[in-house]
Amino acid sequence: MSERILLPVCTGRFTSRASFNVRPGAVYIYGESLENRSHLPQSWMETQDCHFFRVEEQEYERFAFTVAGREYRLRSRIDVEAFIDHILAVSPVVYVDITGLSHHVWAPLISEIVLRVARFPNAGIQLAAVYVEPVHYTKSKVPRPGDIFALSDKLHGIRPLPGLVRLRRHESDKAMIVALLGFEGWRFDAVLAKLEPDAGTVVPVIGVPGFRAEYPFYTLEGNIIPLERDGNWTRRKFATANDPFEVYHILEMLQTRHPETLLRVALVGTKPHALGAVIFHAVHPGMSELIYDNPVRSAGRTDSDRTLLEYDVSSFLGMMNDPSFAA
Amino acid sequence: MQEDVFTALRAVFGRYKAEWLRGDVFRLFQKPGYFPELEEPRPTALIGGRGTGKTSVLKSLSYRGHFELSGKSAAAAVNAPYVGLYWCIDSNRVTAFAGPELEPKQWIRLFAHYVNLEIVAMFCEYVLWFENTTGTTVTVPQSRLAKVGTALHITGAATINELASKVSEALVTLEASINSVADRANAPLSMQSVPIEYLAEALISTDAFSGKVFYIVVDEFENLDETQQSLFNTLIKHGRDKFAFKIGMKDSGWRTKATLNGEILTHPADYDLIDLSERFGNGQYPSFAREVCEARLAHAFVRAGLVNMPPEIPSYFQDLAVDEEARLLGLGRRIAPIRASVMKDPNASELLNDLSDLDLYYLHRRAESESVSLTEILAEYSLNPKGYLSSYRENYRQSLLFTISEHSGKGLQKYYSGWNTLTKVSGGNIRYLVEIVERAFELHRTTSNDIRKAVSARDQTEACIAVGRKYVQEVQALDPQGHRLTFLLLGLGRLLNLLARHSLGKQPDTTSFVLARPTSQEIAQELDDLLRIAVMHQVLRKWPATKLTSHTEAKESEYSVHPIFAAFFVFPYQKKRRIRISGEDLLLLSVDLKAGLAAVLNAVGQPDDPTEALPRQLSLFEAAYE
Repeated sequence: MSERILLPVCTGRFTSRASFNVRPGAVYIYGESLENRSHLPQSWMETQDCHFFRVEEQEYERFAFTVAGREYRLRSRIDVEAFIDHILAVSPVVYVDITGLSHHVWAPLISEIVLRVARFPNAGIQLAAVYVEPVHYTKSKVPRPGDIFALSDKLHGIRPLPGLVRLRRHESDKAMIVALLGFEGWRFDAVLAKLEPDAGTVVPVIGVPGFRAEYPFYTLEGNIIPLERDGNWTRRKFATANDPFEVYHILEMLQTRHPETLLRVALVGTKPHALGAVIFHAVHPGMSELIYDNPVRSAGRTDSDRTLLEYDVSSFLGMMNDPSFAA
Repeated sequence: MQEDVFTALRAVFGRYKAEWLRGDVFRLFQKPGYFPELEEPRPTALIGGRGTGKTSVLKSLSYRGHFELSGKSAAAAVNAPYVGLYWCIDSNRVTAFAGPELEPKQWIRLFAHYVNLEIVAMFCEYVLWFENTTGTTVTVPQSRLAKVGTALHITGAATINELASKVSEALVTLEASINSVADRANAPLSMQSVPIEYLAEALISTDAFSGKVFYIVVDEFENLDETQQSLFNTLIKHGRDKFAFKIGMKDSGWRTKATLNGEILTHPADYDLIDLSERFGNGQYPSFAREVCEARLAHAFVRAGLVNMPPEIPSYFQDLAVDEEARLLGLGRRIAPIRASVMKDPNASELLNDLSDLDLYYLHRRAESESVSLTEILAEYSLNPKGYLSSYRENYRQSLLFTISEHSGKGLQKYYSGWNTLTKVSGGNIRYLVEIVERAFELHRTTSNDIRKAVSARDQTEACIAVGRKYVQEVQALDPQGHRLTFLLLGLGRLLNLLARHSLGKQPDTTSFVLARPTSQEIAQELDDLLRIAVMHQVLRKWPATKLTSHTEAKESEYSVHPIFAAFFVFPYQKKRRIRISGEDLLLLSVDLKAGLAAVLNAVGQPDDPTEALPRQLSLFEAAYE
């Protein structure tokens, strides 16, 4: 029986970007992809009293991104720290809009800021992530099992996110694959094919409730083959598809129950779920490893935007460290 | 408490991956015929597709496997002539050693250091395990350990335990270096293989390990990129007598045989080669497959307390006679009006007494394909009945079965049954065979629920279809180019199905193809890449071409779709005759299924038949064909 986790609310929901306001003076980091929902309307930007940092040139092969003409290399402590130092000098209140940023850019940035929050609790650093849900996903022209929506053209393959590689040996040889599932079952399947985990060591996490009421059914349909295999279905967990903090708690619960086991978290589902895993990994680097398959996103994969979600990461982390909450 | 026999069968056949069996992997392990070759103190490459049993074999070569196989005997651990250290290459680790920040030569130095640390850590783990398991204390001279430490740039490791701990720290340091590799503030690096040599020497100098040889068993070698493989090739080429590499990989997974300084590894001078497709192709597979399955069957019967059940697995999977299969495919329904029509002709009707339904069906189809009346064919037949049918009876009765069922797509279009057939359908892949057996017993549980009765031909066929379907669905996940492999498989599978269904008057049993190479080098390279991954992931099988039909054919290879897909698409599982396909058409098939299939069908003179429904199991992919 999978249990639901009741959590304090650290997520703000806004019916559209127009109803959302950034705190005055804050830093707002964003990027734009091929998806319309990642584009910040000029009219909205003009109403915001904040400092926008637009990330450009975030192609996978470069392991770098550019802001205001300066290149920052993602596998450089010096560059990443310089960027974070730079934005924190502007404001300790930081928003990272992950909607249009690639995983290989936002994950190391969020990770670094989470570390700063933990390391300098009195510095007043406040981190929020922003995510805009799509209204529709584009259906695949050639729907196949595990490939209902045209979300990814292909994969670059499994390769660690920059700055988040794990080479250290785990004390025991126990490992568990925690797969954060989306519609693309073939990506889950690809992770299993590549990593060939032992039977009984795969925990699928399904986005329930979904962005829309019917989405969990697509997730199940798309993932039916790897879910059926070896009874993976029997170990499933549910986490609201747009809630990173539920994923964090599932990982924390698994860690508590299996303290000797390395949690290898496969990011093959929603961005909010991936965000939860990245935060968890930043807090517990010794106990977890992130697995990412680097998909090439299809052009026109989504259609317009819907709800905007604001995730108050630093408040969440504060509560995690609060003994009264833990009790 | 004893289990229900079908539950026991599911337990022992249902978990078919070595990685999944944990404790049982060694209990149910059957040493294949080539195992003694692997145990020789020489570098060895073990090449085989997913499911051919590589991992089981390589794990059995490891010290933990050896221990389990010996019944957990401490004495066996002490007396083992060799010690295998098993390392499965993890994509999520090794792919970190590449990127624009460094030159390839710099990356390989970092990677060599990583390899040294990992292998030294494995040695340490083994020694600690050995001490714990055998109650022996291994005393390694401090001076020798210091030498290992110096080679790794670590200090203060006076014992194996301390060395293990320091190596773990060094891996954390290396991790930090890779995570900030662009800063080029790397920790000092070790020379390739030097610490491994020092440690192996140090261990062999002790009483406990004197005379032993260490095998470094590297599984999933294909997960390494070309330069990383070159590093291992260098270690193999210039290997020392203290340790030898045993590497396991998928077909086409050895991207380069070059060493880092450009020498080429050659077989047999530098390494022994065990290519499972070759070994199994040469007849070793059926007996190995039977041993594996019978061991599991016997284990299931023990679990279920059925000690008197026959242990021979073929007795549970009986074959169908051709005429019986024709009947089951609905020949009676098709032949009745034909027979009735011939009966009206008094001259011809007498002939019917000597003709089976299948023979008459053959004559009927022959008349159709030659556009003459059945009466004319019967007249020719009557002149020399035995001679007229001899060639068909010898060569084409099986292929005729593919043409019997109706075009509706409902029901089975062909049966795949009998132990030999199941073995051949699995195509040298023990995992496929074990899975077919498991599914067939599961279906048998539903339809009969009596282990004393043989599994029906229908259940065997449905099991073959189910396993084929599963792997068709999995192809996309096997490779970053998986979507192309899926289209390629769907296209070729349908092509072979249509050729089988319309084989009369043409070349029957067409199951393989040779390729006319594209003239453009760029396209030829794209084709080679596609074929390489198709073979690696067992979508296709590759053979040396036996005879060429044109000088423009690729001179070296013939390809066939893996027979595990035969029942799913409904085509013959044995490699017999071939067609010629252009490389460009094959590439088109992999990106545009509909256009590619039309081009290939056109090229082989087989028009698409709009009345020919997809076999029912292909309905999952209907949208892809439309």
